[in-house]
Amino acid sequence: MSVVETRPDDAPPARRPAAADWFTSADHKRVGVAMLWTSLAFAAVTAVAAVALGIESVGKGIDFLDGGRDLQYQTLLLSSVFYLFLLPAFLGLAVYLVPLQIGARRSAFPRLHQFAYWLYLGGGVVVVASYLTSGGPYGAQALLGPPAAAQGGQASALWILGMGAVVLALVVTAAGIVATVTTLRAPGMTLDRAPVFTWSAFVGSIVLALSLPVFGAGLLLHGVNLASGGDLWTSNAMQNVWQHTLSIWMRPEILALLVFTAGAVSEVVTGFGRKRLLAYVPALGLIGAIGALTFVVWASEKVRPDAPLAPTQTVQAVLVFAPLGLLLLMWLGTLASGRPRPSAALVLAAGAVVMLAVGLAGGVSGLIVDVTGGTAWAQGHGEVLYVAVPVFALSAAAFYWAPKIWGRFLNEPLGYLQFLALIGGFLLSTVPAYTGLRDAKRYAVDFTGDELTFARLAAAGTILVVVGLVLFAVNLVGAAMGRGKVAAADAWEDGATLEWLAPSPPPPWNFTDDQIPPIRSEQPVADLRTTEVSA
Amino acid sequence: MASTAVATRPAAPPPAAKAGAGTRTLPAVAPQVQKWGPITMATAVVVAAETLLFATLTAAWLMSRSAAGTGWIPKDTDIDLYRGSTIALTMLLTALMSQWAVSAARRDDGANTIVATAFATLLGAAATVLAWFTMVSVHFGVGSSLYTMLWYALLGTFVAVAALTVAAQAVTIAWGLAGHYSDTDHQPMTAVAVQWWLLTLVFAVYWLAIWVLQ
Repeated sequence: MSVVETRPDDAPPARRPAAADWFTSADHKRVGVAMLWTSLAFAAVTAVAAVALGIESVGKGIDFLDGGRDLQYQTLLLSSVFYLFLLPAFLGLAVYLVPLQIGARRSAFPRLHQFAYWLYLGGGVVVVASYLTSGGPYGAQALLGPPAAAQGGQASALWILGMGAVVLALVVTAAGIVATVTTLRAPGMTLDRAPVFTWSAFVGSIVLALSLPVFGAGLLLHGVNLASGGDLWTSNAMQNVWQHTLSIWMRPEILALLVFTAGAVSEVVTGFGRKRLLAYVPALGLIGAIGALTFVVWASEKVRPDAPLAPTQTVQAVLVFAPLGLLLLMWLGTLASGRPRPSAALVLAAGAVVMLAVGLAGGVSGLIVDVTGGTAWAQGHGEVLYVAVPVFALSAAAFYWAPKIWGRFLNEPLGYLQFLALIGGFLLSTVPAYTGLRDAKRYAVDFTGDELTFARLAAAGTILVVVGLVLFAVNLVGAAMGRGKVAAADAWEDGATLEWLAPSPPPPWNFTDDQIPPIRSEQPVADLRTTEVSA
Repeated sequence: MASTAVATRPAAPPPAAKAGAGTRTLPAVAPQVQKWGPITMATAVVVAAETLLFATLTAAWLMSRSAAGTGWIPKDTDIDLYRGSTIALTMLLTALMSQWAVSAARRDDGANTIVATAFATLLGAAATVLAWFTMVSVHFGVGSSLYTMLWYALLGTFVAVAALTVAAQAVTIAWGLAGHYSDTDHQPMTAVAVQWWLLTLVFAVYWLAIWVLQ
């Protein structure tokens, strides 16, 4: 039998879904896109909280977040940016792409993914609504520091309920992704031949499934505490429990964002570098290592937020970022040996690399100068690594796969503008934390003297980041509404993985029965183009 | 039709023959080996997630207990060892019945599958109800002490998960009566059995921590 290229470019385009389809369809593509849009909507909530805190910090008599409301906004910002925006966005992308990348016609549990989406949407709305109840929950302050007492009443109960639903939704989604990857791969696609994004989604999902329940247990304990009016978190022992269950910067699932980032950036680098990833299997091993090492954060000993960073924290930071640093070298090597094609996706991926380098340099600076966990340094460092880097990676991934998802290319000039806004914004908003605000108190919004100047720079940076995200959203909406150049099945003409065999956007059931070729490497579509093999 | 426990994909094509001049030789297509079906895999992930949930709650209990020293248990608290032991043994019996159901399904023995599943459902329900009764019949308020808060958190979570498992086991009876199980088609049965084994292990740890070590 001869295996020849049979691109299905002439396949009829997928029918534009009716509004009702979005509520009833269990097609993994619909669910994935719904998760992406919903996560972007929650990103708007994040943006509102970030801008409000930025405005509050510029001084000039502006003081509308008084009486502890700044902490509420900080809590809203942290819980929405990670649990409502970034993690669901990457999982949504995975729900959409993984079955396509492994040559499956559906996900392993279509209805389960649909259930998880509605749970996420409902839970997220309840979390946001909790801030509209009784002026917002103080109880959510648990994420920022052990609360002296359960405060906030109904609003906090709502927040716990909503976050619990979101956590359950993310675990269920992760379980579905793991089952899909392990059982529905095309014949011949061993795990070491799986596309790198699929592999990262697999590893990231395992990390989420093992770490989110611990957060869930913390929420449960916090809920019991709130319901009983007790003082659960006051003892030293329970403050340790609080740290390992609810402290948001000390969680493996937040570090798991770097796993998804590694997969997305690797795909963009190979796609636009027009070169196979150097040392493919070791690269998969490095992504697996990042996933395994995320759990080292639980070995951290820091209890008091104002304590100096403990040696164990330094060790865990090095352990987690060492494989990521090696992967970064692989990306650079791949680009250097390939024929890179300039594009907004590649530039945005470069943005992730730049912010990663800033974060690594900042981490090294933390080893040289004395820094403590309770300062703006720690807060800014976290924002560089766990917000800026994933946001760039998500944007790059969206540019790369938008032609597949919506059948239209995103607007490239708008993408370059987005890059400029994001890179300028993130550098302005986070570099002050390494310099002028290094010793400022974490989550502070009132500054004086030199610190005020740096705080204003950071606020301007925050607004620039929001501008970048708005440009991103406008671009995506345009593609979804049918604007932009029409994309063929192999939109970038160098597609290497199976999703580029399916029409853009893919029809229900993704592929025809005989469309998937035997898988003999990690780039089966590229093999079809370059090889004719008799079997 | 119920899902199958084995791979349903067509067999992989044979390895590539030697390629002609000017072509790149690719490695052979790897044979498709799928030992577990999607339900089994998803169950493995969910069971791992539950393990972390219960482990966290148990760790909170043990850490608080060791830090509290004397006065950890509120005065006049009377938690009967026999009740905890009864729940633990009933859980063990439930897991064994559920495993019997899996074994019968593997042998394509419909009658034994249904009987074993029914026993597992009834025993699981009994253990769940007894755990609920034990939780609420201690006569102390939720917020009266650290001990009581953790008591309700640990047992409440256990009761909730056990109740869901009983419901899942009941569904497997319906599927069994509908004739869905065979020697190659018993994933849901296996999934529920794994879940019962996890809950049995969890309650054994609870029994040791709460009733024996106190």
